[in-house]
Amino acid sequence: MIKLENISKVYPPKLHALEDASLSISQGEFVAIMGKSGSGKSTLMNIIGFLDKPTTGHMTFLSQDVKALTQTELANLRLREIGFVFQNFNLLPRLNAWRNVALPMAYAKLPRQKRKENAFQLLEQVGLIDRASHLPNKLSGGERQRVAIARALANDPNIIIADEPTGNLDSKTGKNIMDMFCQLHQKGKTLIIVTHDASIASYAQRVVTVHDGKIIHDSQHGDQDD
Amino acid sequence: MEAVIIALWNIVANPLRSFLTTIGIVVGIAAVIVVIAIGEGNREVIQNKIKMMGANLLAITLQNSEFDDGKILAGMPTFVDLKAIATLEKKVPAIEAISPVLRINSRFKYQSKSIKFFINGTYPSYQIVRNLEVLSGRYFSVFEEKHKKRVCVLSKSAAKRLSANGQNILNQNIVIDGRRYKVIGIVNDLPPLQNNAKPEQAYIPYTVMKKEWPYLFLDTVYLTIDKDYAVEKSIGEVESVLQQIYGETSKNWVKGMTDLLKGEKAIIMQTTLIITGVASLSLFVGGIGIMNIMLVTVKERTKEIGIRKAIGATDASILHQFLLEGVMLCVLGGVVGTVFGIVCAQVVAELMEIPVKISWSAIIVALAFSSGVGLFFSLYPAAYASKLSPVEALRYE
Repeated sequence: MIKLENISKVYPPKLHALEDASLSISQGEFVAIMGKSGSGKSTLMNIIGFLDKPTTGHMTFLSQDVKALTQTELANLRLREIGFVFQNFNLLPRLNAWRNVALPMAYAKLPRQKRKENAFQLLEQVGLIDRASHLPNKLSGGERQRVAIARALANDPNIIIADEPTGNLDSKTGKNIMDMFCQLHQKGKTLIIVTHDASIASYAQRVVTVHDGKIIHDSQHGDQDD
Repeated sequence: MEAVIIALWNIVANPLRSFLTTIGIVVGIAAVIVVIAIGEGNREVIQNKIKMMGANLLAITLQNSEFDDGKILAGMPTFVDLKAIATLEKKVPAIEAISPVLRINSRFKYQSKSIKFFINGTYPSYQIVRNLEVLSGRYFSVFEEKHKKRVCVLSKSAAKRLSANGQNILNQNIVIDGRRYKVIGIVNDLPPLQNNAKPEQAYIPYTVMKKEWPYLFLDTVYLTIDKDYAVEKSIGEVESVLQQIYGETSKNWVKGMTDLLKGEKAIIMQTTLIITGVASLSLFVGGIGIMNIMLVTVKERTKEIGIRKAIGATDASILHQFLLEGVMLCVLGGVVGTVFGIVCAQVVAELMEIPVKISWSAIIVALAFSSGVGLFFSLYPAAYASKLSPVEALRYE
């Protein structure tokens, strides 16, 4: 589904955040991208999530050339195909839980009533229906991350990308969240989790290890180092 | 609609900041309202005057008359003679009625009252020329004029002031400058051609006037153009006849209604210009303020922009969001400014004694103006926001 060939990302003047990375992710996979901070795993995630464009290399999504897409087309891909979950939740502080969940549907131009219905349904799925009208600062970390997951699912995307989703949570809540991701995977979502934590990576079927801007290991292909 | 509510929400989230930012807009829009109110008020008054006096009224006035600035140029005739009036009547068929006017401030006495106001010596046709409505009695006749009868027609205000309110002065004798006149009619007050002209007026036959005040010379003749003729073209005809008699010097003697009201218009124009200056200056400064605060807002909400982009907002929707917020900020300022402007217009009307009129179109123009300013000055901040890289915006703390 997503195919990266010899992708590099250079931040001027000459920071090589990613060098010559090749990676292919299929529909329904559960992939962990592992690496220390500064390894280039976030850059890789941003490129996979259409947040950033590679400097060189070739990238396709469902056989279309991503480099040729306009900003608007990329935004539409993020809207329809990707759901993001971030380490620090990234909910809009002035919107309550259900309005946060409904936001992507507004950008997808769903009718208002439908948005609200869907938002409540999604909040029910993550077990937060009774918190629907709370502002994010009235929710606990775990609750916020569940709202974020509900928001990521808003437009029923194929791919969920999670960046250190348990990084700001205690281990029990973290496990709870990871279970939720596993359920999503079972329902057929493609899952990409970026983490430095091996125990989190162990939930995945496939682990891609990034170091110094290079993919040094992909459990699907064995060691690429030599 | 939802977007509007969200924009308002963001504005209300910083009430003091929003208020301070919009002060420039408030002042600017208030000034716009005042300008339009003065303009429309004045236009209405002038139109009313033209309507009341008739758009077909012309005046032939010499220099040093009430309509000019008092310059007497060398070699210029200092009077119009009655023969010229007869010639005009004969040669210009478009003339409906024509009358010379002699005027002087005189003392009027009736019973115990003694008041000074203007007396006008005219032809009987003056009634038609100035569209004087006879309220009771009649205007004097050609016969009375020809035979120098001491008869007098009073304006309504004059009659009221002389007769101690309500007491009938018609057919009574009054004394003007020591001579006795019979009041034969009462006519309506004329709308003044100048702001300072009083409504108290008296009219007597021209011949009588000339006899009693022989030192007065004629410098004003009023005439009206028949409704079947074009006014502008007739002015030309009157001018050419005058030029045959008086030569080139008579060039600017003939004035239509628009000329007669010119002085009044000029004052209003000056006021309007000054306030327009204030309006554009404060709208500009206000607009810069809006731009500044919008840049701050964009900076503060960089993270939010990143989040919105990550979940699928296009550049265009970010652009719209901030444009709308800037416009709403200005429209709020515009609404406050409109209210403030309406109050200011009333104050201006009181202090400067000029007519004002607040109309819906003025309010719509003001609000359109404020949203235009909002749109223009938020363009750069909103464009800046929309072009932010989602990755960098997300990283911003």
